[in-house]
Amino acid sequence: MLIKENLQIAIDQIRIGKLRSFLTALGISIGIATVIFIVSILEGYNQSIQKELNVLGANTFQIQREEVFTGVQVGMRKKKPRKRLDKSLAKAIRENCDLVQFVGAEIWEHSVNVKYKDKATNPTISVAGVEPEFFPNNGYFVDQGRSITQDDVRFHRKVAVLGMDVVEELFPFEDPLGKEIKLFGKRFRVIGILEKMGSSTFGESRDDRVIIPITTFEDIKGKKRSCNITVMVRPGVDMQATMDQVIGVLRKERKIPPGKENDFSIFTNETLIESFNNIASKVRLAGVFLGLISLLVGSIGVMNIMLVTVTERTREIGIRKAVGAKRSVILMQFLSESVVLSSVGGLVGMIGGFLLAAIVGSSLQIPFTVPLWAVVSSLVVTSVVGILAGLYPASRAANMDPINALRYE
Amino acid sequence: MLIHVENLIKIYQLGKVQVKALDNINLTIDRNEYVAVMGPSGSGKSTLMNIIGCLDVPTSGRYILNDQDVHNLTDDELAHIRNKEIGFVFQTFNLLPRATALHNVELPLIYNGTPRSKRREIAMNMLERVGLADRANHRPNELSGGQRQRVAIARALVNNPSLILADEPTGNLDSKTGEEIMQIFNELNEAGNTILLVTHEEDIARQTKRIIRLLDGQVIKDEMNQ
Ligand SMILES: Nc1ncnc2c1ncn2[C@@H]1O[C@H](COP(=O)(O)OP(=O)(O)O)[C@@H](O)[C@H]1O
Ligand SMILES: [Mg+2]
Repeated sequence: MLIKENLQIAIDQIRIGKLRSFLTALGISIGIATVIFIVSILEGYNQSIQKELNVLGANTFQIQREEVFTGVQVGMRKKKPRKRLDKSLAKAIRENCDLVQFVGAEIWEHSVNVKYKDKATNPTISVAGVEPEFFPNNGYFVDQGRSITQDDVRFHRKVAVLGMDVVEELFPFEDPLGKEIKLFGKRFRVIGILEKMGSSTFGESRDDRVIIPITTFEDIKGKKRSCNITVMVRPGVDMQATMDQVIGVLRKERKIPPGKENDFSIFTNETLIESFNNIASKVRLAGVFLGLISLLVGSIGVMNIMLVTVTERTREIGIRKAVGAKRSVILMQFLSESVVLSSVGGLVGMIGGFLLAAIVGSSLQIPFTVPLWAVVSSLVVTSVVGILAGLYPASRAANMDPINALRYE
Repeated sequence: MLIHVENLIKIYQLGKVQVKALDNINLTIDRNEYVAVMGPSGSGKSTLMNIIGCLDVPTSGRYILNDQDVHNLTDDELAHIRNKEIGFVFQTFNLLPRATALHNVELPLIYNGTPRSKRREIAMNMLERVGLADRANHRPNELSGGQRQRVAIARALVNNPSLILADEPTGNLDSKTGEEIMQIFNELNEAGNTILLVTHEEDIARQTKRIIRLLDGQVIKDEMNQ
């Protein structure tokens, strides 16, 4: 019913009050942009995680003090601090668990500067103090030189294996093997270079690393830090059985009474995906919630501006009624205007959200996706918002008395 | 008999004060008549026009338009009558300010579902008839007062109504332009249109064929014009 005419009026009206329309639609835009951004990013993560999760090597699990993703747990409870994991636990596992192939402790320090002569790494890199099993368990391979050995650990040697990023920065024209770098204010001899690995699923480079013996690390940085322990399962042995065995040893070592929860966490690639999905669905929910709040605010804005418009155009309504416009026609005219306004807002928000997701996604190195269901539901939601926000103002316009409307100054 | 009004009363309630704008009006107007409604300001001329034009409803009394009792019609039915049977011309033109002359003339056709191309054609014809074919794409603020009133007349004619109602159509115009507008009304009546126009100028009223004089909401004189 007069759809073309009503759309024309709506578009003209939005063009006349560009700034006003823009500001009104902004709330809707922000709401839709939030949801689209979060949905698109999570979808991208999800795709890349399913394809190649390369945080750990195959047949490997990791033990650490805190839960993975604990920082972003929604509704996180305050717990009492847990005892640190000492590297002696790795030894206990090595001695008591016959299902384990390799076990190694590692400690990390991030945001470290490494220097060679007058060059320093920029940005900073991460340093791991490790036992020899670190390399197979994490899927790190030494390309040139040698790896960290049992002797390096036993004699607290100041030796280092470098990732490719570090090599490229500090030794653009030289062979790094045998050279001395400066780390934590001490001199370290370069004994090996890692194969180039590229980025992990979470967008971080895995080549900006320097690996040193765990004992040397603790000499310099002290023993306060908690270790991570990686465990590789013997070929053909069940992962769960091995985990149970390891958990038993750890509980005994840490003297956890029966019935009490573990004071450490264990994850594999699979449980990592699981907890990622768990977090992702919470983040998605939070995003949708934020988006809905913004949409609510936006729809109040649309309703407000529609009320203003109806009042401002009282005479116009009177004229239209005087020449024969029925109530339903006037109702449809203002409803169309409200729907067009919020849909334009939604469209802008959708484009903005996808743009943002594309930019952020590319810096996180995750694939960019446009989930069709998100597009369709955004359009539906904005139309519904437009109808709801426009209903009251439009019915006010439709119910105006023609003669009073014509006389309105 | 086109219009028949019986014991028409209109009372406005202003707080506790009642204003009797129309006080027992009885009138009959036939097809092809050319009638002026005269009277001092506040005598109820506009109120009468608005009721006859189905823009307003009386407090009591009967109003029969074209053998149809207007009493008890719904808002939408009244809108339909305004669209088909009545063409309004107002003192203040009442054009849509952002629409072109052509679009303003098309408006009544839009609301009765005339197809777009036909609409254009009819509206252009009407603009031609009031001598404004070359101003079709001008907006009201690009037109003079007289031209605006011609656009309003073209709009009033576009649905070929039984009745043209003009409330002080020359009230906002200088006398020369007013005379030109009256010329159009005279020609329209010659061509068979029924016209009811409100004025307080004797010069204007004298060009019509019948003069109804109002005072305090009552008809005090209703006579043929010599
Ligand atoms: N909407 C209204 N509310 C209250 N009083 C009104 C209204 N419209 C008209 N009146 C009163 O009714 C009387 C007739 O008004 P009107 O028909 O406009 O007179 P005219 O057109 O002859 O000048 C006047 O006293 C006027 O004040
Ligand atoms: Mg008047």
